[in-house]
Amino acid sequence: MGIQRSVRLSGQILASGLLACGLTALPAALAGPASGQAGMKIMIDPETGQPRAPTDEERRAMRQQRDNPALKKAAPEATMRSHRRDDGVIRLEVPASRYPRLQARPNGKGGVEMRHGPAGDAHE
Amino acid sequence: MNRGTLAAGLLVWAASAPVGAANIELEFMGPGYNDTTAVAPVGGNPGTTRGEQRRIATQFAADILGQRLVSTIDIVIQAAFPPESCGGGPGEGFTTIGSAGPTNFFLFLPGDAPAGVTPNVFYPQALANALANEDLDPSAEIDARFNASIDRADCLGDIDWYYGLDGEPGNDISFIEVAVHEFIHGLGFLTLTNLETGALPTTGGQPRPDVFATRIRDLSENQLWPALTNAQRANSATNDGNVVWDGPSATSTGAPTLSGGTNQGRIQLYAPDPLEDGSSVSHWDTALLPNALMEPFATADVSALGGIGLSACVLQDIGWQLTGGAGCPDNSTTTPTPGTPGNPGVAPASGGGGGGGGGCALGRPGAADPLLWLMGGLALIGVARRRAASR
Repeated sequence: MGIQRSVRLSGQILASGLLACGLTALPAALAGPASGQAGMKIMIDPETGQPRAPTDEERRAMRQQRDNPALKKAAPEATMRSHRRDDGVIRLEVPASRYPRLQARPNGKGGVEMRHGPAGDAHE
Repeated sequence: MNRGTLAAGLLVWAASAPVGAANIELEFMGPGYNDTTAVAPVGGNPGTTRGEQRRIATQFAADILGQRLVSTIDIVIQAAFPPESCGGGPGEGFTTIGSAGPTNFFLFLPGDAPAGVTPNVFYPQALANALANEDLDPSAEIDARFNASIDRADCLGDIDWYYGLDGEPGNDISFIEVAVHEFIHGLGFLTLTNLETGALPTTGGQPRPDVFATRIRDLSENQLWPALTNAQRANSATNDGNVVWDGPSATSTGAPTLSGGTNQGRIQLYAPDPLEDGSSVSHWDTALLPNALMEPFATADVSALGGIGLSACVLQDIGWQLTGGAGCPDNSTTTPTPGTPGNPGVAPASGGGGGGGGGCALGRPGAADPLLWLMGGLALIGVARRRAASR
């Protein structure tokens, strides 16, 4: 399969010399309308003007951007979005807020009581 | 040349590394993995700082899974250890200690699906990569976070993380057990189905199940979940005792090992009424006897050091290929050993002291370094030649 790499970019990445151009994102969500469509973005090499895969350093920077709390707050976390790639494969992005969370509290007997809690709650 | 010696050496080589075992790389993010607090080595974990112990324990947990799964594509786990908030004391709020999941799922259309892939079904990224034999996305396959505050005296009192590798946490929380459990979720032991509404993920306006959901059967309806309506699936999510895993591996070789927690020969999933968000369906029923690693609540009699048990059946049923040493259920006790050849140790995470921190990709300590094996093979040949020449 010919895969065209799709990556999520941010303002800082753009400022570092990479050009992002928004493409179509398929409307998709889990049980409800997607609020705020995210554009699929393709990395364009600023020197050649051609799409290319990001370097390891660029990937690392993008992952840091993804973990930026300020950016996470800016996007609706509970929504999953799907993107159709050029090769027809569909990618469904799962925000970390949807992961089940293992929780614990002291049981008063020197041990802990553990359970899985709702996604998205740091604690209750 | 002494061919017998050479053959024996190569046989040892071939038998030592699981054929096709997945390489799990860890990207340690943020300062939690660089915590310089001095600590004493514990339970076989030789680390002398808290950050080092965390890195070693996380890699150890990842290797438990990597040794059992086949993939030619590296599985990258992005792991962070941020100081999250604490809930309180006994009877008070719960504190989140960890979470993990796949960063993406992939769906292949009819005609484009690789061998072994069902079209129009969402697969977790690591599994999709393995089946497509291709790295489908540059992002990490699994995101994982663990709460560093557990090590603070004012969080859970005397209860801390236990970073030992020996399965003897005492009253502390075994990091290895938690990490393996969470990583298994990241490998696909979970459904994306909205359990309150019963809705499947959609794409292009069409509901499409994830591969885990395709193996969930409601015995009252006698249907697999994709065949149910949303309302029926929502009802099924609380159909306690009547929601089962319907996969050939788990049913044929997993279920017969249980003395409790099966219904009509299939293993029950956790489906209490009322719904327990975060626990329901994506875990085994607590009725299982003996207990299993992927039950929603940790039990003292389960240790991932003795294999990942019935989890291997589920992973196999959703499409993972198991290595030769693993089976369903998996009770193999093969565990990585820190500090052995092929295990160079675990380097510090980058970005220590920084806010978001950087990532540091590391090779799997327990994995066989091809160069190391090549050098070993050449050394064996050299020894064989010297012995032959001396005769």
